[in-house]
Amino acid sequence: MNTREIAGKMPERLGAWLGESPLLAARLGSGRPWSDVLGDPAWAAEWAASAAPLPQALLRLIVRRFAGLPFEEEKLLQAASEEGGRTGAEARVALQRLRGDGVLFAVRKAWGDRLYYLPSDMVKVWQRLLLPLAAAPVDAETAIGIAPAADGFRLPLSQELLRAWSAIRRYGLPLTAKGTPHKAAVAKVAAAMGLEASALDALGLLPGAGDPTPLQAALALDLGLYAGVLRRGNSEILVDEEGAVRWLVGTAAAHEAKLAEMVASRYAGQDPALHFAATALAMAAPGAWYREDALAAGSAPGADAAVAAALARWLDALAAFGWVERGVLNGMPACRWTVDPDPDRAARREPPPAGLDRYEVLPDLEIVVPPETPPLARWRIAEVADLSSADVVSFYRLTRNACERASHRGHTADTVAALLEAGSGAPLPPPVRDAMDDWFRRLGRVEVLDAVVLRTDEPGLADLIAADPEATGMLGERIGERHYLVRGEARGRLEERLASLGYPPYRPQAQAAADLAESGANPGEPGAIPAARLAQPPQAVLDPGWTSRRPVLSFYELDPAPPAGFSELFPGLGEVPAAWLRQPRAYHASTRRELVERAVRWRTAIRVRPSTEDGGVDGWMTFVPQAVTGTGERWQVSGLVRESGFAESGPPPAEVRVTLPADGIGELMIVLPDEAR
Amino acid sequence: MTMPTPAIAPLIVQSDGTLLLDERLPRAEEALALLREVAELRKRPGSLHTYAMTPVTMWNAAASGWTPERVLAGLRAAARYGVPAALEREVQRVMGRYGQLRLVRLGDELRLTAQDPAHLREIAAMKEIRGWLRDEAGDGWIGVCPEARGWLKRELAARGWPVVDEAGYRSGEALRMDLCETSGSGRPIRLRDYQAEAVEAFAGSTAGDGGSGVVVLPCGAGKTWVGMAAMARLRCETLILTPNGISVTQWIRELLRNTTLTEADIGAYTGDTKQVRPVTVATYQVLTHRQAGKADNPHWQLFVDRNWGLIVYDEVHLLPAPVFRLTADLQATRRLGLTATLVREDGLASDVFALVGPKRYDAPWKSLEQQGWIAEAACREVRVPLGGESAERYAAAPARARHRIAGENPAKTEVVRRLLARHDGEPTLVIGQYLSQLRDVSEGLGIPLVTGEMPQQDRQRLFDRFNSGEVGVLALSKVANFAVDLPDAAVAIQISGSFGSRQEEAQRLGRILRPKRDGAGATFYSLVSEETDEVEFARKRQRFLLEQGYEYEVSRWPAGAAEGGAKG
Repeated sequence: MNTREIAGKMPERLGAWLGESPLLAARLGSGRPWSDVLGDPAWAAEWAASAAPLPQALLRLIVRRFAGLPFEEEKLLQAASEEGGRTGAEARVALQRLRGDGVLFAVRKAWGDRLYYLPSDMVKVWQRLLLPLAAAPVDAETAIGIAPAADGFRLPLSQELLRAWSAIRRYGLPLTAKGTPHKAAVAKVAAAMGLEASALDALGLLPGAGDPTPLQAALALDLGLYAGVLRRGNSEILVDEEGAVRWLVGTAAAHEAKLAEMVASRYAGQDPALHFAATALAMAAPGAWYREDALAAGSAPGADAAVAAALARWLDALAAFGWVERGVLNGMPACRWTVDPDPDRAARREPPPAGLDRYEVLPDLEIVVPPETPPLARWRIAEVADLSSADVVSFYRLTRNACERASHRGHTADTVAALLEAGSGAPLPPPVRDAMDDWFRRLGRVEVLDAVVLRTDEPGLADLIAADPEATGMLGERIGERHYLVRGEARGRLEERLASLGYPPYRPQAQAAADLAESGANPGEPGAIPAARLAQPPQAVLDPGWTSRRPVLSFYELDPAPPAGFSELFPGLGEVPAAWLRQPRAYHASTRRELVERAVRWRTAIRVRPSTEDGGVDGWMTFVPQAVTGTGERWQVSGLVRESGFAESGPPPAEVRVTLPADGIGELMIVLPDEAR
Repeated sequence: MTMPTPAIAPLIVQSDGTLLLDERLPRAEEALALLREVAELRKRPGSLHTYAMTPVTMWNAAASGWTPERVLAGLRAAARYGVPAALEREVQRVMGRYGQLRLVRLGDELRLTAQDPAHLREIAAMKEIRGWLRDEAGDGWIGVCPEARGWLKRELAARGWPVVDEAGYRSGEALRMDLCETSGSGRPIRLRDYQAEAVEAFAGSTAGDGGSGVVVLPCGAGKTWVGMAAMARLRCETLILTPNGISVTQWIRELLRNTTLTEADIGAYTGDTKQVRPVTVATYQVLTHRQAGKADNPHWQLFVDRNWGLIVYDEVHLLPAPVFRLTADLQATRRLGLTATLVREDGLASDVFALVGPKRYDAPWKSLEQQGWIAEAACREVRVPLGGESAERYAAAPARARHRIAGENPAKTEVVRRLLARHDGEPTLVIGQYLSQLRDVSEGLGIPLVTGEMPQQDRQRLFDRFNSGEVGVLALSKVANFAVDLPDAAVAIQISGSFGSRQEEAQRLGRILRPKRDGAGATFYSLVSEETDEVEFARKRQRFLLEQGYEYEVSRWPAGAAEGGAKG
């Protein structure tokens, strides 16, 4: 779930306590909506600059281990212990802080379990802030020695998608009763693309059972539905022209960056290692070569290999999307962006100089479309011309068939000319204009219509009806001795008039039934809403896309409960002697056990000075008790010893597993995390 | 999309080797100089000109001493979006193959040599090729059957392996021959620069695989001169193959007029005459003529009757497939192809490369027009309404019959009459596809008609009268498409054409492209029946010329044509 979705379904109670967070309150106070505030990178930067080390460390852990996937508290505590050397208490306190600050959210499943998650759009923001890219680009001199991989030319994904969506606009995409596309129709969509399915492994596209959709077409459908370019009709997938315009607006560079970001958030988010790799890669400077092992480094202790493998898979897909180039430097894989993946930066770039974003219409009816041409202009060309080849520049051809299709979409020679002149910034060459005029001259001149006809059994009756002053106004052209056209909207009134003239019209039963269905009423269930209308998705609901996804959090209610306080996190806190928490002391063995068991329940550490067998004492240590065993005075506690106390940041402290006998424990106290840390 | 903000460089390099040159941009001239060496012009409509790097153009560049690195450096310097990695690899691979395989002669023995013996093993394993190789082999070479020289080159080139043919040519029987110093009219004979360049490109380089190939020049640019100059350069007995008898006559006349050859030196080998002399001019048709029931072609003997040193293929794009087969056996003889266009409607352009030779010289039409070597031509399409009975017949006819009905639109006769009046005094040709229509126009307007049925002497007499100005207008059937020398024709009116042959339209325009004495331009009219299929066929026919930079101005003849000319 992303911040926009969270804002859209935020319960009042959640908003009330979340709004008390100082950083959020300041922004909300200036009238900004939740959707704006929660996803604001500036807010995130401010939080990162001021947050205590422990929540920061935990957030880093969440980014690495879970990315945008939901997790249970226990999984987090386990990870915090294994990887960060944190006590359960520390992790739980930090978790509540992250919730209270609007960084982390929770949903409650139907049976009450709570799942935590980072808003999917914020994971990369936090990674950029808290785990910035450590890798440096290969210097220019060394980069000369990079041998580019022997891949063929790849079109940018934006153009591949346009080809697929244009095919849907052109041929349609009907769905079977099971909701899967017709095999032949979806094969046409896939055939319109140059993208190979084998390159898409990293994306985890999972077409449903029995779905014949090839992977590349599934990608086009998924992104098309998600971006609002496509929509679901009754029994087909349709192009939503308004949605297409909304999605395609902007420069080519900015659009590609927007798409790159959507691809990363939609597909890399399914796997934390992949998401980490994708976000690290997105931090690389465009155009500069990087060693792939350097990009994968710094994820988590021991996790580099998993991230490196994920990065390699991700790069396979991105290379197929025409976004990265790969090569080999001294036997090691290297890569570089060939587009700018940062939407903000790409949007800020200067527009192409001197009209380079304009395409050119040649007198021989070809259209040469350079890479800078905005995607919306490409989309419109595809409406009136046929793509003949696509490479660094694309070629479209104006043909009679293409004009015929354009005419079905309401185009005329003038609108096509206006479209092409606007996109090319030049008057159409005369041979092109001539061809347009020739082709369109014959288009739209005839039409096959469904019409309502008045038929009488003999000509005299037709004359009689036509002579009636009221009926004649409802009649159109006479098309035979016994036939008149009936004006479109007048059928009902004419039938009434004919009845009143004494000629009640004959109505076949099937027609009557059809009329009933049209009215929305079900004969067996008066007033019911027709199934067709039910099938239409409600407006303003984001389409979840085409392919099956992992658990969709939006199914669940946001958890409105405020973050737990200390007394909730550490039940019985008020009942234990204050001294247990204040300073180390020596206690009777049974009290020592009670104190240690309390620490185990609270999953927190104790500060302890072990006593030696000869009655002497060692130095102080921090011990995280995990289990108490034994009975009477012969009990022992096993757990982890932290060698050098808490580390606020950086690598976790080394831990040693030890077992302390009851009589080996000298002075001790319970150590609870500092609320401020 | 590449990262750096694109500088406005003039060249766009596609990964498949297509190159787009924007002539409006600075440094376009510089880029053009590179493209002439490494690519071939595909089309030049508007300001964006399309070139293509093909294996053949890359091999030609390699033959001229270009290295892949130099080619790529040149492309990178001019490229707006860089050079796609895929193309870089292709250039390295394709150019790297040039020179790997060579055909050499050692005494009577023909050998295929390879820098890498592994390539020879690979080739020897190819089923189609094995039969042409001999058992003799050594370190880096293998023996080749002499008669397979052409077939081997063709097959290997088709598989991406160019063979540098250094086996040499037979010099042929020597023939003393020079270009005259002055023409029949007393003017000094001097080749135009581009003609001299074409001869040099063809005959200049006899090292390596030089000495055979194709020269591409627009109609009217003097291809015959290139042929004659090449003959004078090589001074050997020559066989000239042309598309028809008229062309045979004209070659002979030009040779007699402009070279030191005499009538005793030159023979015509046609359906009517079978003279075999040191210079023999024959038609493709007679060579392919075969008696019913006999497998052997009696006229193929012509190729071996004499020790030819050069074969000239006039209008090489019309070379019939059987002559290709013959050509494959003639690899020891130099071959010169002459044509206005390498467009072959039958798609056999690659065979022209493999068996006649690579393109040696190419001058774009518009460049010669700008330099004044061919006349500036205005192309006008006149739409003529199809009315009355013709319209009814057209509507009722099956699709395949409609083109002819539209082509023979009787209303066109009146349009021709008006156009002739407009161009009164300008030598004009009326060209058509259908004899019945031509006869109607000829009779209706009193214009002499030349058809293939007319005896050659009569045809030539009419051409001479036209050239002398005695006859102002000639109607021509398909015979006019090629190799008809009517240098003063300034106006052509095409009243009907074939279904969509691009080269036919170019050839017909070519009839009026000879530069005029007064420097005036030429006008080409194409009459097309409005609202019929003929409009689309005309559009297809015009494509080659559009690609060459010509644009048709379309005007519409008023229905009824009672008054005035075409309206825009």
